[in-house]
Amino acid sequence: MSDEQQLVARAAQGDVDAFSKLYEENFDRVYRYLYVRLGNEAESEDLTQEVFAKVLEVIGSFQWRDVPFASWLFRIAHNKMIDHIRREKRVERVDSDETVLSLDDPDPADVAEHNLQIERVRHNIGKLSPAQREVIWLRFGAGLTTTEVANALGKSTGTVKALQYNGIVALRKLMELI
Amino acid sequence: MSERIEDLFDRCVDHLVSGDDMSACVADASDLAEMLSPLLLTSELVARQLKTVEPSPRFRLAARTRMRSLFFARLARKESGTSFLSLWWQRRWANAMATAMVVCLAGLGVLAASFNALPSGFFYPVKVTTEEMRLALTTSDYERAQLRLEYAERRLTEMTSMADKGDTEMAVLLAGEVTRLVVQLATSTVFNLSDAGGGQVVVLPDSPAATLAPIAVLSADRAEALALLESVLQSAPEGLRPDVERLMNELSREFDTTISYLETKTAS
Repeated sequence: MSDEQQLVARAAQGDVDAFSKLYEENFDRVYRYLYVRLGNEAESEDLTQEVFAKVLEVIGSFQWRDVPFASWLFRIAHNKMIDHIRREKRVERVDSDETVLSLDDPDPADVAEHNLQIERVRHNIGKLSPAQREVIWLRFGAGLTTTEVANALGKSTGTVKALQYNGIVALRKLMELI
Repeated sequence: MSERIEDLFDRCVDHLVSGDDMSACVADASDLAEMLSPLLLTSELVARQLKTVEPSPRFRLAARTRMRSLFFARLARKESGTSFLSLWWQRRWANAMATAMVVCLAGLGVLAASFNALPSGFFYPVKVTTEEMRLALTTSDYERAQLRLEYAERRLTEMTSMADKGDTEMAVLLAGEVTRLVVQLATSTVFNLSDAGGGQVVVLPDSPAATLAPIAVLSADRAEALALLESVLQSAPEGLRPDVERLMNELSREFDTTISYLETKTAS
């Protein structure tokens, strides 16, 4: 049994240290994944909490079957987000009026410029095909490995690599147009 | 060729995602390096931009507090076998209904009647929603701080009442609410505490048995909230000091009473 498997097994049995470790390791990247997709701080915060509440509810039923924990976690995050978007019945937003940046220097002009850059990246990622977008979000936003992305999306690693490569090629072209 | 470049590019992204130098990944594939170079630059830009997105310290701390409450509420609920999340979701629906009720029933005396409602009561969602609406309608940070002090006191009273009724799960959730309100208070601009969001997650004494866990988390919540309130008191405006001191006294007393109820329950 790997370290991660042991950690998940302990968390499922109510071990607070194990659950805290899984939570701390994944909290930021789940939030980042949701924020990059939604572009709204309040919604991303609510959904991040919902994701971990769901994890806590169902972690006892998590079975390995060669699926890494991160893949399982991001499936939950993905499903929560889809539910949310359907609930809101809206087109995904590409602009944001919220600030969630970790900047050492909180100069408002720098923050605004930085926000703008992030929104440009988000905006351009939003123009990719749905499959390319999902791979780029999970790989670059959440920092998942190719195998974890493949398991989360139910695709082969070869497909994920191709989507990733073609997504970045398309993104480069889009960014050159600016 | 096509497959090879995708594999190679993927290895480079691995380096990038884990924060390593990407140049090493193309060192043994000089024929492809030129083709990959612009794509690696784009990848680097995307990764760098997205990495700067982080949850705010305020949210991080509030979420930890809430998660901790849910975790221990789940342990407390295990014995009774009911899903602890039902409370979470029930409250979401209840809030929506309560908002409608607040609008419809304002003026009929229901809001006043809800003042003493407990979490198990029918009008409790009205009480909580009224509080949230008051907070939302208050524009002054100072007045918001006053409201949060008031609401924290209410949660303390409710926590003790629920513990007295034997509802350990709700007592733990309410303790988490108290801590959440105190965290929000400490991060208010009124007190100017820049490091209020830097606390550690769950710090608890060793208590692996599920029956002891609620007491452990209540003790941790008590210590955390009191430590934050100490800092708040030191930088509080003169007008808020009596309220902060009163909350500190109430907090110590109500937590002690609640813990003693739970100890009695555990012993029996």
